[in-house]
Amino acid sequence: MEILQVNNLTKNFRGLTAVSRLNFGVRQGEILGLMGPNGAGKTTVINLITGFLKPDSGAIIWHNENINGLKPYKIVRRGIARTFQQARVFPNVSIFDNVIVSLNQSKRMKLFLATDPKQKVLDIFQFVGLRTKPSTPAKDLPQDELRKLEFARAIASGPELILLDEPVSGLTPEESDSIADIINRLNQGGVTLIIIEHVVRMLMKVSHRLVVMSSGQKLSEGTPGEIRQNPLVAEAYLGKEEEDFA
Amino acid sequence: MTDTQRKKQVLSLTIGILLLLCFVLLMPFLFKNRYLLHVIILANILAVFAMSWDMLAGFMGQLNLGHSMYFGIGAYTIGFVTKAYPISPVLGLIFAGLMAVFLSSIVGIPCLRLRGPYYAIATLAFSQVLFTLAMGLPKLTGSEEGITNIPKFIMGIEGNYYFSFLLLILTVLSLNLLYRSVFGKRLISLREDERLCEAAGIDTNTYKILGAALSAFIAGIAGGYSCYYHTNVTPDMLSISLTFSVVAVVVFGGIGTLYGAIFGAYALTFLNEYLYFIVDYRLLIYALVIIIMLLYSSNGLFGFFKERYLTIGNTASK
Repeated sequence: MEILQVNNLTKNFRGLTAVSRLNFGVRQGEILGLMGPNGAGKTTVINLITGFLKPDSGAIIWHNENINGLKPYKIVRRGIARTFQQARVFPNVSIFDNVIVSLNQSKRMKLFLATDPKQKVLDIFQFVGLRTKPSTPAKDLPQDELRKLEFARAIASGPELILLDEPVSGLTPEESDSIADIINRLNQGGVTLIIIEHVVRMLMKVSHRLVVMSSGQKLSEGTPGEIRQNPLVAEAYLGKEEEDFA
Repeated sequence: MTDTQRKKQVLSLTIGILLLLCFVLLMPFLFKNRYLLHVIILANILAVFAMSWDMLAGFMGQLNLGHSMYFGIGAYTIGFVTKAYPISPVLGLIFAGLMAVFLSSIVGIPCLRLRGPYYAIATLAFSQVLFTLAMGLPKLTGSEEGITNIPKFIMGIEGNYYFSFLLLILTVLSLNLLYRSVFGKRLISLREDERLCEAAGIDTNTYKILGAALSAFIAGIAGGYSCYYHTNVTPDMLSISLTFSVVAVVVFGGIGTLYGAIFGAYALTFLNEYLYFIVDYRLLIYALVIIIMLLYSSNGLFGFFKERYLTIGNTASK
C-alpha cells in the first residue's frame, strides 16, 4: 500500500526547472532511495514533501490527503519527519533539549513505548547510539554524533515516514555503517524511509527500491538490481561512480 | 565535577540564598535609610521589567526595541482604571498585565513574518505611536504631565519594599519553571533556528505570540506596580529611553541568563541614583556599558560571576 504519492510535481526557481512533472509513490515499510547527479532536484523534492517549499503544480498525497502547501510543522504532526543535508541542530542548547522539543507522544511509533518524556528521550539516544552526556551543548558534538542527534530529533516527533537528506555525507566508512544500521533498525521497527545519498554504494545497500532523477525528471525506477543494469542511469552519472554499480 | 563537589556546591548555594533572603527580610530593620529602600524598590521593578525583555530578546531571539510600550500600557491601565473605578490593586495589576498581553497580540500578529532588524524596527515604531498618542491626547492621558494622584497600592516604604521583592521572586520562580518546561525549551529553540523548529513540529507563529504575550504580561505588571508606587504615570514610561535602559541592564547583567537582569538592574539603578550628577549623560553611559560588556564579557556580569564561581543550575545554556 502506498502511503505517499507524488503526482506531477513541478517546481521552478526563476525560470529554472528544479523538478518537472515528477511521479513516484512510497509503500508502507519500505526504504526508497532517491538518487541522481548533482542538481537533479533531489533535495528540492524533500523540501517540497516536507513543506519547506511550495510546489508550482502537482500534488503530494499523504494517506489520501493532499498536503501541498501545508506548513512544515503541520506535516511533521501528520507523521513525516526529515533531516538536512548539513546536520542542523540547535547549537547552544543541550542535546537532551534538542530532542525533547520535538517529542510527540502519539502512539504512531511502536519503537519507543516509555510514557515518561525524559525516559523516552534517553531511549531514543540509546537507539541511535548517542552516548554523549545529555547536558552537553549540541555545538560540542563531532560530525557523526550531530548526525545521530538529527536522527534522534526526527525520531522524537513520532514519524511514520522519515526523509533523510544525505545522512552519511562527510562521515567515515565506519560512521556511515553505524548510520546504515540505524536506518535498518528504524525500518525493522516499522518506519518508512526516503533517502537521498551521493554515496551510491550505501544507497544500493540499504534501499528496497530506487528512483533515479536527472535534471528534475524521473529517469528510472526499480530495485537496486534493476537500476544497476540500467544503461540510462550509468550514463546520467557519466561514469563518475560506475564502479559503484558494478 | 564529582557528585560530592556538586552536592557541596548546591549546599553552599542554598545556604547563600537563605542568608540573602534573611538579609532582605531584615534590611528595613537593620538600616533605617528610607532612600536606600526606595532605590531597591526601583531596582526590583527594573529587574522584573528587564527579565521580561530578556525573555523575548535573550531567550527567544526576538529583539524588541519597543518593549517600553508594554510597561507603559500597564502603567496607563492603572492610571485610567483607578481614576474610573475603585478596583482592588491586585486585580488592577492583573488587568494591567492583560492589557499588555492584548497590546502584544496587536503588535505581534503583523510582525510575525518579520525577523531580526525588521522586527526590532517594527516594534520600535509601535512604541513610538503609543508615545505620540500619550503626548498628543492631553484630555485622556494628561500629556507630558501624565495622570497623577493615583491612590497608593501599599502605604509605607517598607510595605512597598517587601512587595517589590515578592514580585521579583515570583517572576524569577515563574520564569525558572518556564525555561525548564518543554514549552519554555521550545521558546528557546526559536532563538536557535526557526526553520529547524518547524522541522521539529513546532508551530513557530503560535509560540512567538504566546512567548511575547507572557513577556508583555510581566512587563505590564511591572509597569502597573511602578504606577502604583510613584502614584503617577507619564509618557516617559512608554519612551524609547526606557527600552534602551532595559537593554543596557540586560546586556550588562548577562543576556539570556535570567539572573543577569537582576545584577544589571541593581548595578545601573544604584549608579543612576547615587551618581545623579551624571544623569544628563545616562544614555551615553548606557551605550558605553553595552560596548564594554560586549567586548569583554558577552555573557555579562552574571556570566562572568557564573564562569568563575558556579558550574551548576543553567536553565538555558547559551
